[in-house]
Formats: sequence, C-alpha cells, structure tokens
Amino acid sequence: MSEVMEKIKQAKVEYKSDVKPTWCPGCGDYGVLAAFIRALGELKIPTHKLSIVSGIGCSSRFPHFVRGYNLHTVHGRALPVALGVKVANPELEVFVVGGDGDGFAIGGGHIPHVARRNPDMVYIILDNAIYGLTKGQVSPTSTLTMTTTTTPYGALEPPLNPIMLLLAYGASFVARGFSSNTKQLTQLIVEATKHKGFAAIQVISPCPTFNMEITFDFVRERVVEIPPDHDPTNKLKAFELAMSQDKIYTGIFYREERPTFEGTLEKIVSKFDGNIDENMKKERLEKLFEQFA
Amino acid sequence: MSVNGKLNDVVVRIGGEGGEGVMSAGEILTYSAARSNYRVFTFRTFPAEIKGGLAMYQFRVSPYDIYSMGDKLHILMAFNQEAFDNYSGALAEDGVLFYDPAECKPPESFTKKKYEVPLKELAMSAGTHLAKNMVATGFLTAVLGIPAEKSEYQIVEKFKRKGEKILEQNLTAFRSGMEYAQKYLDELQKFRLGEPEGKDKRIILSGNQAIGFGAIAAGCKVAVGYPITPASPVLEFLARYLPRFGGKVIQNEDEISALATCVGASYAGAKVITPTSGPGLALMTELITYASMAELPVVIVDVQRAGPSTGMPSKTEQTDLYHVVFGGPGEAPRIVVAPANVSDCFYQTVRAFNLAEEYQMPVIVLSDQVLAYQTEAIPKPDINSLQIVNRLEPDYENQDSYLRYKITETGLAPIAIPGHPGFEYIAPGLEHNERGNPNYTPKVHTEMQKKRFRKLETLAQKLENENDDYYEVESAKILIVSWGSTFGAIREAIAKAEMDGIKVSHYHPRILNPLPKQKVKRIIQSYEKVIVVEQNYHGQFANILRTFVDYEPIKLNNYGGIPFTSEEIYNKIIEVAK
Repeated sequence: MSEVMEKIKQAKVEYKSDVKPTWCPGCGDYGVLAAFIRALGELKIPTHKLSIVSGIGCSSRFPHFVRGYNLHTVHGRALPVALGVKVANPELEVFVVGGDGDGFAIGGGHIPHVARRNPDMVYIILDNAIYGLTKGQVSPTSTLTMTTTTTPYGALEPPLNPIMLLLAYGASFVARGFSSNTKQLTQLIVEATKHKGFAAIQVISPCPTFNMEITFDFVRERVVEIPPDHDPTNKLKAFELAMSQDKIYTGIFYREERPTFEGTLEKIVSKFDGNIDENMKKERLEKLFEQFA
Repeated sequence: MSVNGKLNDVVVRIGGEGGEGVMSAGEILTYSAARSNYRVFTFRTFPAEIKGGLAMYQFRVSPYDIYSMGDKLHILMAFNQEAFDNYSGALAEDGVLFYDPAECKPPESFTKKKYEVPLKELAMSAGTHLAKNMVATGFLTAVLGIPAEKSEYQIVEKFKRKGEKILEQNLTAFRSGMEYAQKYLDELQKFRLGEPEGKDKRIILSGNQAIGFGAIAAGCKVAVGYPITPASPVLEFLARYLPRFGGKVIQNEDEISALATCVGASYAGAKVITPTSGPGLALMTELITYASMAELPVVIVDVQRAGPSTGMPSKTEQTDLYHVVFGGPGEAPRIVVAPANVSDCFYQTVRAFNLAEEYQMPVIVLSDQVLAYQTEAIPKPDINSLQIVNRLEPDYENQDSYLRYKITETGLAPIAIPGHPGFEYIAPGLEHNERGNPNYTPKVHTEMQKKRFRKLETLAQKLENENDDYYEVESAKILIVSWGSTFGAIREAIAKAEMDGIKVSHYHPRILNPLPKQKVKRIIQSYEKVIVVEQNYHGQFANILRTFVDYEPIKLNNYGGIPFTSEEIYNKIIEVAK
C-alpha cells in the first residue's frame, strides 16, 4: 500500500503545476485531476511530451494545473486545436479535457469529424450536466426535470446521450467513468492512452454548487460497472448498455483498431518522399515551377 | 504604347460555343506567347456568368510589362453569331473582328474592320471539324507574330496522347490557319508584336496558385481549410503539391475548426496556413484573437468576394479591410498584407509567413476574387534569393526560468517548441503573466496589452524606412492611394495621364496594418489632392488613414462586383486635375 502511495506522491510532484485549481470545494473535477495524474505516473509520460488542450468551462481550466505543453483555447474548439497539435507532432501524447457544454453544445459539431478521423488522442469529458463557470445554466446533458437559471420552468429539451453519440460517430474507444471512483478512472485513462486512436471517456463529475439533481448520491445509487463478460468489440451490445435508463454503466463500452489520421497523412508524405532538406526543397520547387512554365 | 505604328499591346478575346475548344486555343496562345518571353495577362469568367453555352477566353499580350487585363478589345475572334452578338460591343474603335462566315454574319450596322476566317471549312479539310480552334490558334499565332514552333510544341503536348491521327489533323489545321492569315498580314501589321523586352524565364500562374507556391517556398507544413469560393483553389493546390514538401493538408468541417487546427499545429512548431473568404473569415474571428493573445504565428488568406452575407461569391470586392484590421473580441494585434498582382501573391505570402514567425501573431493576406483567378506570365521567382524567417526559439541548454511571455523592449520573447524538457508552457486565451498563468490584475493586463501591441510598433518602425510601396513623381500635385488588386489598373491610368502631361504619384502599401504613420502622413500631406481608390462603399482605407492624418480624401469607389478599369481611374485623374 505504501508503495502505491509513494508512486502517487511522486506523480503529484512531477505533474502538478504550481497553479492551484479554481474549482469549488467538493467538485468532482478534483477526482478526475487526481486520476489523471496517477495515470500519467503509471504511463510514465514525460511532461515535455505531454500536451493537454482545452476549451472554456470549469473543467477546461484543467491544463493550467498539470505540467505540459498545454493550450487553454476558446469555447468549444479544443478538439480541432488538438488535432493540429497531433498532426504537426505525432510524438506528443495529446489529451483533450473539457465539459459537457464545451463538448456537446458549442463544440458539438467537431466530435463527429474528429471521431471519424481517429487521431491518436484521448478526450476526457467531465460531465456535470450544468454550466458551472457561468453559474448554473442548463446544459445538453441536464435532465428534463431540471430547473436552472435559464430554464426556471424546467428544461425544454431531453438530455443527449454522450456514449451513444460517441459510438454512432465512430469513436474507436468509448468509456465512462465516475469522478469518485479514482481507481477505475485511472485505469480507464491508462487504457484510453494506450489505445491507438481517438479514445473518449465520459466522466460523470457532479457539480455540488449548481446541480442539485445529479448529485454524488444520485450517481452512486445508479452507477454499475460494465459486466466483465461484455465484449468491447460488439458495438450493438455497447449501444444497449449505453441506452440503459436506470443504470449508469461505467467501464469500456467499445474499442476497435483503425488507422490513425496522422498516420494516414504521414503515409501520403512518405509516398512522395516528402520529408526533405532545404536543398531538395529548392530542387523540387524548381521542378514544380517548370510544370507551370 | 504605339511604337512604329505597332500596338505592341494587344487584347484578344476568343468566343464560341462551350466545347469548341475556345479555352484550349486561348491557353495554347497564352503559353506559347509566355514561352517566347511576352508578357501575358489572362481573364476568364466563371461558366455560371455566361449565358447559354457561350465560352470566352481573353488575354492581353505585350513585349513590355503590363499591369492589368486591359480595357477594350483589339481583336475579337468569333466562332459563332452568339459570340459576335455578346462581345462585339467590347471592341475598341480600331479593334478588328475575325469571324467564321459559316457560323456568323456581322450585320451591316457593324462598321469596324472585319475579316473572314473560314474556321470550319479549313478544319474540315484538315480532317475534322473539331479542329476549328486550331485553325483559329494558327491564324492568331501568325497575326500576333508568336513563333510558330512554340504553338506547335503546345499542340503536340496537348494531342500526343490522343494518337497520331488526331495530332496530325490538329497540326494541319493549325498550319492552314497560319497560312490563311498570310493574305491579311500586311493589313494587320499593327498587331504584330515586337521583340520581347528582357528574356527572363516566365511561369504562368493565377493569384491563388501563386499564394500556394508562396506557402510552399516559405516552408508551410500544415494547411487546413474549408471549401469556399473563391479561395478553394488555394487549398486544392496545396492538397496536391504540399505533401511533396513534407506538408499535410486537411479539409476540416468548418472554418472555425480550420483555424483551430492551424493554431494547434503552429503551437506544435509547424508553419501553417488557412485559405478562406469573407464568410469563413467571420467564423475565424474569435480564434484570430486567440492566436494573437497566445502569440502564435498563423497565416490566414482572405480571398475577398462581394458581400455582405453570401453576397456575390464569384464577384470581387475589397470590403474585408475593417474586419481584418479591427475584427474580434477585444483589441488584438494582427498584421495585414495585401498583394498587388500575381507575382506579389507569391512574394507577399512568403513575407506573411516570415512576419508571422517573427512577430508571433496572425497575419492575414488580403487577396480578392479577381486576383485569385487572373493569370499572368510572371518572372520565375528566384528561390535562392528568398529570405525565410523561422521563429525565435529559446536556448534549450539554459533551462533557468523560461518565461514564454516575458515583457521585452520589442514585445518579443522566444517560443519553445513542444518536446523540449524544461520549457513546458501553456498557450492561454486568458490574460496571463509572463509565465502564461492566468492573471486579471489591471497592472498585468495593461502591461501585456502594451507588450503585444509593441510588436506592431516594432514592425511599423521598420516600415517607416521602406520606400518600395511609394511611386513618387516629382512636382506631382495629385497622389493616388490604393491597396490590393487595383494596382495594375491604377499604374496604367497614371502612365496614360503622364502622356497627357498630368503628373500623379502613387502610394500602394502592401502592409496595411500596422502602418508607418509618420511616413504615410508625410506622403499624404505633400499633395494637394489625394484620390483613394477602393472597391468598397465606405472607403475603408481612406477612413483608416484619417484616424491619424488630417486630410480630405477624394474617394473613388466601385462596388459593383467587377474590377476597376484603368479608364475609370484615368477619367477621375482628369476630373481632379481640372
């Protein structure tokens, strides 16, 4: 036990930045940060090979709290920014971290395209089913019964189902975790990172300040680990688990191996023997000019 | 430019039914003229703008440097009646009509000179009516005095893979066209081009292609875009050729993500470009300010089209200037570069990359629809003389307290490239301290805004001492100020006015933001009359200049969707000179 604690301590020293989290006391995001740092320690990713990209929201402050070559960008655009990081330098371990509003509302248009491209990166969605940074507005995963500052008479839209969307869009690794189950979440992050492709983890991370419905207790009562006999290559079965109304399944729903986006782009470059020096570049440019002469 | 009775500057339009080979005839003539060192300038309209099946190709050719597509036609080659009906009105007073008597009967009322060229008949005797366009090519080759072997070379290149018979038929048709022209040559002497001036090697590019070449030459490694008229050809060009130079090209789901991916790739160390037009630029605006805040180099090409909203996508305008200079949440420094012609599209794109790398901010290249599609025979760029700038990186051996956003005299601090231990930093959109950590204190925000804008001041200071953009005519009382693709038409108008004894100076800055304020003020205030020529309603540049120069601009604006002719500008000069 003390060996485990020692490792966790070491990971904290290595990966925690000197910026203190801005989250409310009791926020689920602390649990996600702890699991993330443990996973990094387990994976032994050096901080100079680490790139965490986020948009805007409470959870999007995440990259400030971990050492790495990180980007804290604009609302909803973390995925395409991360895509650029990965394409330009495939050696980097790229993580995208953000909330349900950032990912499924303003940034919802990017998930299908990044999922089908399948870049080798991990997307951690910290889902609290509320807008916390702007103090309590309805989110795409808020339940219909929720009253919020912008829906004082109840939410107008049913929540969307993040796992089903990710499966349908073609994410090659889909998992769900719970911020209070650090041990399981750490392993999910480790598995997602090892997966070659776009790995998405929805983490239920309750907001103790603004969400009085999806509370820790509410989640704890419903959370169930995916049965060990589930075949994660069976997409239909994965959909079935994701559709459950009464249970919140956690674990790996689905995984498949597919070529990565950056790998395909690199292949096109190799086909033309494109990684060339300055002299060769000039020679090729002259040749190309000839084609237009 | 009439010397010894020769025009030496001929505008030719070929018109006919789509599928009759009007375009290939024009292209063969363009390329063979360019390969013989003539200057060529082409213009073609989008098919969507042409009624029925009418196709049109126009080129202007001269032994001397030319700067625009020209005003009136000197030669119209009409394959059929429709071509005559639609285009004969564009003929100059002394212009001539060549027409196929089998397909076209000019009415009695047509009084300009006309010559029969039996295109169909000669093509049939060569073996196929399909070779009509080659008869026309041969005829025009002879009239213009383009070396026949250059045209024949083009024909061989074009037809050799279609089999010997077809090649032979087309060559025969070409030669019969040349031969037929002999009987008119004495009368048509004035169209015969003189010896070309200078023998520098030329290549034929459109503005969009030249931007693509510029990106490659500058060392661009990632290009991302979303299809939009009239900018798509830039992305298409790069998609085809950039991989040969180690670059990756992506078509993203929208313009927001296109710039987002560029920003990410730039952070990871790559030189990046995203081509777009006004509506796409609007979507990118938030991220432009992020790149400015996080101090990341990105090049954005805005091929302007006529707006507002969807506007007229295939028409031209210069209406995004306010947007690119001021647009976005908050005040975010950025550099704006506007190329003046096709050659400039290449050099200003290279410069845009260099500026982005040096000043660590977004650089927007302002092109437009006309410049995008116009092709010119430009001197082949000398890549060995190009200066390529790469971003300043920290000394990775010295790990002591790296501050990515260190406040310095120039506003510039080294950028670490990911992968180097000990230099990890966050690229923030939030206001931040020198390390990049969030900080909202009035002092930090004030100091950081100053730091970021100081980079523009550093550049503006350099521009104070550059004079390339200023054509100063001694004792001129009139100054024309302009930017972008209007350059050629203005220079020709100025040359024409000069022949009438009216002296006009011209200030045509390529960098529109920042501006060297002292220099601009000095230039503007040395003239009695300042005409500002722009293709927009407001007179956007004229107004920007008024923020720091006290002057009364005479605005010459055109916002109909088509470019200024030199005649319009000349007329304005005459009016102002009175």
